[in-house]
Amino acid sequence: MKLSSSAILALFLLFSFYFFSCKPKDENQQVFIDKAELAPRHLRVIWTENPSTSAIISWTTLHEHGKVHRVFYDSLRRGGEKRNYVSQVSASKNGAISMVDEDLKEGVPQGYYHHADLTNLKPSTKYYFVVESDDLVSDEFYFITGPEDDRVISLLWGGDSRMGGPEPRYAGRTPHVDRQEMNKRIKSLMDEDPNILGFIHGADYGTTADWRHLFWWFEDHEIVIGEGNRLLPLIISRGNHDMQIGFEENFWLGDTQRKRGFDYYFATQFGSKTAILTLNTEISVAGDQRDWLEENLSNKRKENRWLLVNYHRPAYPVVKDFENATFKRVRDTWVPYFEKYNVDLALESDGHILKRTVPIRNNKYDETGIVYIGEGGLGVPQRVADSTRWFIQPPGFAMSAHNVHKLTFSREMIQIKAFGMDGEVLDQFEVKPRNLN
Amino acid sequence: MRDVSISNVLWLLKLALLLQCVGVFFYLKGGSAIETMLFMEMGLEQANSKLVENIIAWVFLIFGIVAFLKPDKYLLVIISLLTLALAYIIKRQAGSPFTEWSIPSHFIRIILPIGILLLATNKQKNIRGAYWVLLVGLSITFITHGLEAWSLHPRFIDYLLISSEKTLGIRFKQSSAEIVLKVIGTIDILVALSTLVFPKNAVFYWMAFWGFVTAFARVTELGLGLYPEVLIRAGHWLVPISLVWLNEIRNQSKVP
Repeated sequence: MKLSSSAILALFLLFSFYFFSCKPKDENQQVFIDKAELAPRHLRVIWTENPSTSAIISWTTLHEHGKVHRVFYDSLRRGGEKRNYVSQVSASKNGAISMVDEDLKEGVPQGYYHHADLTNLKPSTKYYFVVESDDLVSDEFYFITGPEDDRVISLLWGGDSRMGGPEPRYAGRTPHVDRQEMNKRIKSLMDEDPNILGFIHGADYGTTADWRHLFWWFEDHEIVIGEGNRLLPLIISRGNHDMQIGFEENFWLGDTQRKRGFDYYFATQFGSKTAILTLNTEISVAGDQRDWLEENLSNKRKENRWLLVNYHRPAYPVVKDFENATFKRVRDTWVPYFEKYNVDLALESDGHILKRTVPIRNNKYDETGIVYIGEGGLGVPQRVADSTRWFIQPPGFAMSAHNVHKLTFSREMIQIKAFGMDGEVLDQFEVKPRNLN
Repeated sequence: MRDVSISNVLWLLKLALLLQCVGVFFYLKGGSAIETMLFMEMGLEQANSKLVENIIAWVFLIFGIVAFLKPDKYLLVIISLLTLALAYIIKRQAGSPFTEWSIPSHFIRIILPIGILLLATNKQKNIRGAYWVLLVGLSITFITHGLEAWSLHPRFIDYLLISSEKTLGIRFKQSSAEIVLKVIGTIDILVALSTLVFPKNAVFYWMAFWGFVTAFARVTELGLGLYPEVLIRAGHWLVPISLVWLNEIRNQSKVP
């Protein structure tokens, strides 16, 4: 066989063509615009470091970017008449959501993101607001800011709401019923207990963070609007299926992102005695993030009764290969610091299963160790655990069941309850305060 | 260099393919994008998805052993296509940094059986073809890894930081690792391009050394349990040596 120079050149050109074709393309979609579809939608509240005084309100408009995007807000109900609200703030970030070929094929409409930073809020206060894009004003919604004191609070936590492959086979044609059912469960829990202040998401929202997936995630998320149009603020983390530009466009974290770009990790302070560190397993775990983790675990441990960590890829997976580099890296790099600073509870996702480990220290059962719960069940198809793994033997366990956890923080304990799709309690246990002296 | 024959080269390449197939076997047994695709995308039961994945793992292992003993041309083409399919599934499933580049990144693994095929079918006639196929495959893999390093692949940062901490006892800052990665990325790309124009043995020896070091970084970072990751990348360090030998054979054949 003779391979001429021109053949080699052709091979390289082919490779180059392939390589550059990997990049998403920005294209505009021509669609018929229904005026009713121009109104603000997908309203959401995002919390980052200081939920008692700050929040980000985000929303989507379809088809047209618009010119004026504002939030009108107040601590009193104003019935949606924008002139009556005491405060207003313009959106600090607006832009067109990137579309790739698959988005266009799936026929999702062109979207535009809008994010507004609310600051100097009062703690433990209901804030009523409307958003305006040009002359179109949303209904009135409200959320409750985090406390500043040591009162009892509850948070919901869960991860993995994705399904399917590149085509959203659930989207529109075959609804993602499991995700929608879990969202109904979250709404019920929120309506039943006004002490539930926010929702911690363990990431992997969609199969990708391209618009065809996030669009339907936001559509389904509108199920989680509580009684009286209450919105449950989200604490966002980033998973291995959230790596596209769409995630960065649609989830804006305000100052946290201004400080650290999209490779973010942050500590959220709830009241005076509870801190939750959101980590990012999709960037270097041994670099700046580890330095930050060590510093913040040290500082937060001194100040808080309850110290939790939330991240996507598990240190103690019950489904996937325990020795896989991704999990071992988290286990080898972060867990020693979790143990050194006596983290009270670790929240993990990714595996698509419900689990609770035994308390673990030095890679073995230890009553003084850390319990790891997980691993994602907000509608993602559930896998089966490797039941032989030592860390899920009683009192640990694992089962295939969609799940969302309610974490209630009081002076005496963290009460943890895992709810199934139908509201059944799948697991419950308590974590007592550590005697750290 | 003396007494290098095509049989030696063939043996080395078959060994590389065998090690690669053993590595893929362990990789698939540990759970991979195949199970995810079958379970998440195609709606197969998880147990059945895992069963299919295990079968494919055994297919790789058995084919690798058979190809080592008797490199049948159809078998080699099948291994190449299976390796390409695996890279495609990894790309399609995504879920890790830079998986969209998995096909060019795995190019030497995909092309290695074709190099063996060319040498095994009609040895003398196809030396030049085998040489260029392997060289282009290796260069594409090196260039892709170079671009990933230049783009500050987060796992590469961790290889550097954790490996240096475990082997040298030095904890570098991330910013230092990023500078080193930029340099590594540049060298990888320049080396790969230079081999196409100036195929010097010294450069191939460097590629073999560097291919082994980077493959072994998985072990220095996270321990001996990661040895399948080194095996999968056997071509990264054995193919450059085979290119040195092929160069030598080609030069010998030019001597009147």
